[in-house]
Amino acid sequence: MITEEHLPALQGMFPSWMTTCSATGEPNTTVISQVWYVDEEHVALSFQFFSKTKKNLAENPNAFATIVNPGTMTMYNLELEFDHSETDSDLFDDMDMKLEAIASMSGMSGIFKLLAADVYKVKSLKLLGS
Amino acid sequence: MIPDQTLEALANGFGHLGSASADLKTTHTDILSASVDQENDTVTCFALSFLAGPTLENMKATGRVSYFFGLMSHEAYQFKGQFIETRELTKAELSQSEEFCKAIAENLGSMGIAPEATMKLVGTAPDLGITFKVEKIFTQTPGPEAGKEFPFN
Repeated sequence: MITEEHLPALQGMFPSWMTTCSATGEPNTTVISQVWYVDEEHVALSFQFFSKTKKNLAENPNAFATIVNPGTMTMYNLELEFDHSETDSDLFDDMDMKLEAIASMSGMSGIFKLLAADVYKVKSLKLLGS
Repeated sequence: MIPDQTLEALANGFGHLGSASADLKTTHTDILSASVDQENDTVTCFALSFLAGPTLENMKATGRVSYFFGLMSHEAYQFKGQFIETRELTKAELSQSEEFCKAIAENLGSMGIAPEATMKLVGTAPDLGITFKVEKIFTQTPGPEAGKEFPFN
């Protein structure tokens, strides 16, 4: 599902957006700094601040994200299903290091703190507008 | 009254309008600026109809709306509320969106992004107003206040 053409949009160079909803259907939309490529059918998102998102995912695993290729501004919509969280793994360490680098560049070192690497199954990936 | 503190980000921030279907599948759509009706506590988001279909269908079915918007400075808010209507955008709103898109293009250009790439993001004028009544406001600026409900009404 995820191919080489999508990888530039998964490098954290441009923000991504994510919408989840509660068990009662109340939507919540937020910005995320990074969507990580895990394998052809999974991505990982950094869990930092968005407690409402985390709460929603505990009630309903469905999520929707938009990623952007920073070179071409091509956007892709991903339908996601939350799979599991990692707090002690190579994936977590890689994401933690990258996040600190992003924070340093944007003058927000110490504010972006990775609490977990949340892994999602990619149910669909579509070019925006297609 | 929509708080003054949020007005600059509403007009000049890049936004995403979110919704959920009855079976709890979510979606969102790009918003190219927004206007405020202070008398009625409503916000009208400037959307592209060719992208907004699924988000709008959900709103019509469930009524519930989330609108996240933020400035390049990281200042960001989320409004939650009830879908009211869709309508045509006024000349003033189209002009506001044109200024917004121009500013975004300039910002992205200064970051080295090619004009033809920038046009994919802000090169098409919005053609649909999506209006919702604001019920709750949350601060979303990264930091210790993120997620806190913002005093409103």
